Amino acid sequence: MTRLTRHDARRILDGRDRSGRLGALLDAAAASARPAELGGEDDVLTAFRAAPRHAVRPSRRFLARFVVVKAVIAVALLGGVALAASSSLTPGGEGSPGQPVAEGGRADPAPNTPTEPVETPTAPTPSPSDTSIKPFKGEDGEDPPEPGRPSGKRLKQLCRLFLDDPRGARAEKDYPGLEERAGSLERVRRFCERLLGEGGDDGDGKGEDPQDTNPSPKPSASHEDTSGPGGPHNGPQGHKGLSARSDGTYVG
Amino acid sequence: MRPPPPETDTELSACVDAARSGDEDAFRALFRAVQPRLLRYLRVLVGADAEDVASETWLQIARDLRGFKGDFDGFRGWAATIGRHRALDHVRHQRRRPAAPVPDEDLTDLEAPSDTAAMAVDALSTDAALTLIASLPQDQAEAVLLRVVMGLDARSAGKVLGKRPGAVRTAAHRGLRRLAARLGPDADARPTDPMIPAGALTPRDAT
Repeated sequence: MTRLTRHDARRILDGRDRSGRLGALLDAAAASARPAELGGEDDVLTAFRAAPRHAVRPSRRFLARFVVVKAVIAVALLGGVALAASSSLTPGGEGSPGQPVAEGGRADPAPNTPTEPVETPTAPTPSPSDTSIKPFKGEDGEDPPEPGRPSGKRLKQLCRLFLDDPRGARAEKDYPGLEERAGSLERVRRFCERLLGEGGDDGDGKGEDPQDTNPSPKPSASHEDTSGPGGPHNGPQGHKGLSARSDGTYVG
Repeated sequence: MRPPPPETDTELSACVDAARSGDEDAFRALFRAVQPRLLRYLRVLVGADAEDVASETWLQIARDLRGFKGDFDGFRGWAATIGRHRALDHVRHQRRRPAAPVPDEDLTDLEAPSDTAAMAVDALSTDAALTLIASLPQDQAEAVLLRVVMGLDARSAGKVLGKRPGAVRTAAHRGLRRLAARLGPDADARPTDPMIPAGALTPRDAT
């Protein structure tokens, strides 16, 4: 048995060398798709069709940019006006040259808008060399809660549903709202448990699982990656659970 | 019968863009390219529930795709990450509801009866391979699958797993060594029937 060096391993993993039994094993694992593996396509496409309009995000961003531009113009104009005002001493100009904010709604967006595009976590574009996976950052990104999202009673309903049957809950049309409220998918469960817990609702066996009550602090985490070490799931516990499961399932 | 999907990675990257702006055919192409790999990866995480978890994964992908940026490589990694999270969720959920354990028999349900005998043979070796890989320690199995089946490089796989690329390489390396040990020495020539060293698998799982 020749010792498999790191170098060999890499060649094999990269697919540059698939000779021998090991190569055959990996080839078999990565063999082309079988029809049975493509089931569910229709459902997925339906979900795709039903997904919030794909143009939404870009247009929102566009809007945001537009607002920024407008705000900048407004500020510029105001500044101009203010300047003019202070120099010509027009009434109304005094007192507020420095605070276009006084203009209320109009100029107000100025200080805020710049943050908006940042929040829309359209995953940062990965530079090609930087590998592709960057987009994950987006996954945990915090979407600003949007108006018109489920709240109050409906939120609790969704939560109950989620705790009961996460899959079912995700199928709900307004489920994304719940996720947004929770901050991220990973946090939905806790969010719900807390929500239902404080409402004196019949929680769903919360607390049964101590692990859930002491997850590593999940600060909105470096959304560097949802799978990062900060994530609740990557703790040793999550992992143990998995291996326990799969061991149980597969290992004789 | 070799993998090359109808599209190259470049074409699939274009599909990612098109799908982001709502192109259904593009999305379908992505699904077809990624789903089988994803399913195999998930099988190692959640066994017979892989299909359920995969469909949850795709629902999320469908929903969040508009916010995704990246090429096809990135997309695969993204899909794997989502899938992994869904799998972890699933496992946690299962544990908190011990009422619904997954009986071993369900494993056999995973393999939908296939159309032809030839396909069944194919299926067997792929399944056997996956089962063998799944018997590795979890981190090794995941590293191997992400590299080989999902087709990610060490760095991307590391992102999925929340590990450094070096850790992924080590895990994958160890996994391969262990697999090689189980497979026994190469007879130099590639065996006709690639797989299944006697005793490597427990019969009940071999589907």
